[in-house]
Amino acid sequence: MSNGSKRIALAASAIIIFTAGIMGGMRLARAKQASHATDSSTLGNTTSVSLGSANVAGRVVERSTHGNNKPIAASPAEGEILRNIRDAMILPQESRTTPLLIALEQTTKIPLSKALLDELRRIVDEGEIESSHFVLSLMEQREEKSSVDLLMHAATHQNPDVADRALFALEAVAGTVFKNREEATIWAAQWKPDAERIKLFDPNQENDGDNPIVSDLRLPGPRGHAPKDPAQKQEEK
Amino acid sequence: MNMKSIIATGAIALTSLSLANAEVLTYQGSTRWAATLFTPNVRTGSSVTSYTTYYIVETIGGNVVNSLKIDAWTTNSGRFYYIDDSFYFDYGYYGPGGVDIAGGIESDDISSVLPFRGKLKFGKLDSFSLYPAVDYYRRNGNLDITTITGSARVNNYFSGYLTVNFAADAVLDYLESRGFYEY
Repeated sequence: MSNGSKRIALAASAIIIFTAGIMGGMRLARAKQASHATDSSTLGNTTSVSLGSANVAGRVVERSTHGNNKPIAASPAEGEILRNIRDAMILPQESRTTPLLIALEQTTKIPLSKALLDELRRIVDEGEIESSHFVLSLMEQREEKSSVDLLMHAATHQNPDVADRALFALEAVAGTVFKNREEATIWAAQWKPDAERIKLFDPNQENDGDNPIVSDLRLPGPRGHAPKDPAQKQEEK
Repeated sequence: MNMKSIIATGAIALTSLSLANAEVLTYQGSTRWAATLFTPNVRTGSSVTSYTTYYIVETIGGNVVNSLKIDAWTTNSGRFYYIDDSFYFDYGYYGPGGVDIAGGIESDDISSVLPFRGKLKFGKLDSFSLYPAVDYYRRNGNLDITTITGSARVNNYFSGYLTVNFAADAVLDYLESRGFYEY
């Protein structure tokens, strides 16, 4: 074989190996998705029906650079959370829900900045049920004008599943039931945050070390697996 | 009417009165569940989801005597609700003058108490948020609940001097009017 023929054969081998690698990777991804689908279909009991977004592959999220033109984060923590949200958002629909919701849960620890609101609003506008409902749940756990504004925005969503969930959240914040969205609009225009609830929903308050009852609490019930009072444990010994 | 009848009638009246005066507070909020799914020797997966949750709590003299939880959620295949009637809810007061509340929730889905902290308003539990950093185990299946978070506020529309069943019926009527079905 001449040198030229050897080069051509070498190049062809490299192309074949490269293509096989890509195809193998795609097969692996498909297999993971298929096995996930099998898993989630076996979960059909009690409240687990909407847990169908389990995804292992989605945990491995590479950093993207597409967010360069986005609003700048106010803190390193916010920057990291925004990056995680944006990275999850560019994953394929079938594998993004879990990493996206995990990233969204982290937003409870940071203030509701303009940059964060933009991302949350984008998710709501997209209208995918699980992620938009998750965002609305997070907004419900805030006591801020901007969180109520986002809920009001979602209450006009063209997808009734999103709009109705937003109305639930508004009713939770208001502590009542609205006859319609117009009534919610009137309420939202007059609503003022409750200072005590702001403090309550602030996750930074959870580590105040002044809460002895939680660890000692025993609930009534026949099953007897609630944690026991340490003092009672000593008496039993 | 002899004395025994009078006493008996009085006792029944008092009992009825105390039952009628039981206060039911319904807390509306949402819960967000993160779970790890185990299939032994095969794989481990993770999952996150959220529910609209109604906690219906009956108190007499500040003590919880009865409680019920209703979860509602929407999927691509419909809107559903689930009634957890083996649900327990309890709390105690702490802080200077007992102005704060700490408590716990026990659900039929999980095997340990979900702690929460709450705020009083006019002497009653007004709202609460669940502590997120606890590891729970589901009672059945290969599902490990890693985190449950959420919050709730009192909903006056479903609260008052009534019974848990009455409040629950009102919540269910409301959910069904919005297209939810029992799961």
